[in-house]
Amino acid sequence: MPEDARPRGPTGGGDAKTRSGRGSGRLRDISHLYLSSRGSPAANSVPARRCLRVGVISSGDALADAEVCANLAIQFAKLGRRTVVADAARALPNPGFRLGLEPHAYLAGVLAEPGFRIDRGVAGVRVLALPTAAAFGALEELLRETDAVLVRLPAAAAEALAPLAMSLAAVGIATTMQRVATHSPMFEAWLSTARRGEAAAPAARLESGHGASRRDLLDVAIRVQRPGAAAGVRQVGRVMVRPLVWGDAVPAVPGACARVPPYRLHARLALAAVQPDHPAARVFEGLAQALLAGLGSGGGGRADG
Amino acid sequence: MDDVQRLLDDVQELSCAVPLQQFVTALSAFEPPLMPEPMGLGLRFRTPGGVVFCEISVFSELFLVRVGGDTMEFRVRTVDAARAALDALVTAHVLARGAESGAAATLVPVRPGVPGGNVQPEATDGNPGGLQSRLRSSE
Repeated sequence: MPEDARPRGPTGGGDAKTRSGRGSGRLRDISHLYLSSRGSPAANSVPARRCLRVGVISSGDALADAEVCANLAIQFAKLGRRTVVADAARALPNPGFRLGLEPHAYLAGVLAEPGFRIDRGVAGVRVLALPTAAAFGALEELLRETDAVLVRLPAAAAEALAPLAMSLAAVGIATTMQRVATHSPMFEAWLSTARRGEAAAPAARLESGHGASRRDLLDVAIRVQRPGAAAGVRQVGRVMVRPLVWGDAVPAVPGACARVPPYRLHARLALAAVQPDHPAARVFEGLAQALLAGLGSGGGGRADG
Repeated sequence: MDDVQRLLDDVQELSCAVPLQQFVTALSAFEPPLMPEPMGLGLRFRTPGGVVFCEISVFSELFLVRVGGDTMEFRVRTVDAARAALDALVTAHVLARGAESGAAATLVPVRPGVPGGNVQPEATDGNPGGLQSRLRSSE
């Protein structure tokens, strides 16, 4: 068969290796197809996969919040997800402590030291404190190669989320048009107009208070239920805050996403790291699986859906 | 936190001012918040339940931190020693919570004779036998 009559793919990319050595002229002809996509910063900035974004809203008890954050993060990591814990609450004890970080690492966020730190805790979970604006940029970089992010938020969750809007929106996108919209306010405005009248958005949204456009920020919001605690924020954007019952001090709560049975607290580490077969650790594992399954089916935490 | 600010204003000329400021900044980050009250040479912090959580006594070039009354004592001259004391406080907080809920949490063994504090818990700066070092070696 003459060479010109051979079938070719639409880009010619599949033929490049088989023809190597027959003539460098043909390789030069198709090289622009490879080079043109490599240098594009836009192509590099688009995340390859959907990232699960879980917000743990402060319940006024930092230990309970940190314990829930750390256990869920360990379970995500054990399920094979690259996991990041971002701490925006600046309260002690924090998730970094429960994930086994050393004092200079987990105290960095509390003491508001300059710069930022990314440290690896147990099960390879990466921990990032968010005390300064520099850390927000680091979070955006970090989330490009992350499958699950847990953000511990103070009680005023909406205000705390506002500086993180760009980072979280960029990893929660589902379509090509939404990807473009995260980098272009004008395109986002056009997309909002085009979407007007739609019954439901793909994921939860939050009104940003900084004049930015509406963006998807969280998939799930969880708040640990405490006995006698005042009812906190019920909704973050359009995401309902789901109560999580921790221990046996709280009676049954309607709509709770999980009930964690009481267990002996380890002095330094989260339960899932030291007793992975404990019934409470199994509850965290089931919750992590359910959250990931909910992500695959389009998310189930929306107030309107 | 007026008592805390007053103490910081009083000691700002002393050589231990920087570690002391970091120490009380971290103490104010505890949740539920601790309640400070003035005492002889420094401050005493109580839990919301009224239990003494820690005491700070300030001297010219160092300050003493007593964790949970008399159980542990740190002599703090540097920021690293302040972090070690804070680490012990966070651990004590978790242990106290375990005791409150009727469960005895695992005690962390302590090792005497470490510079910066006469008692130091595991997993602190430069401690080769610490928890993180053991975690790394087990990977």
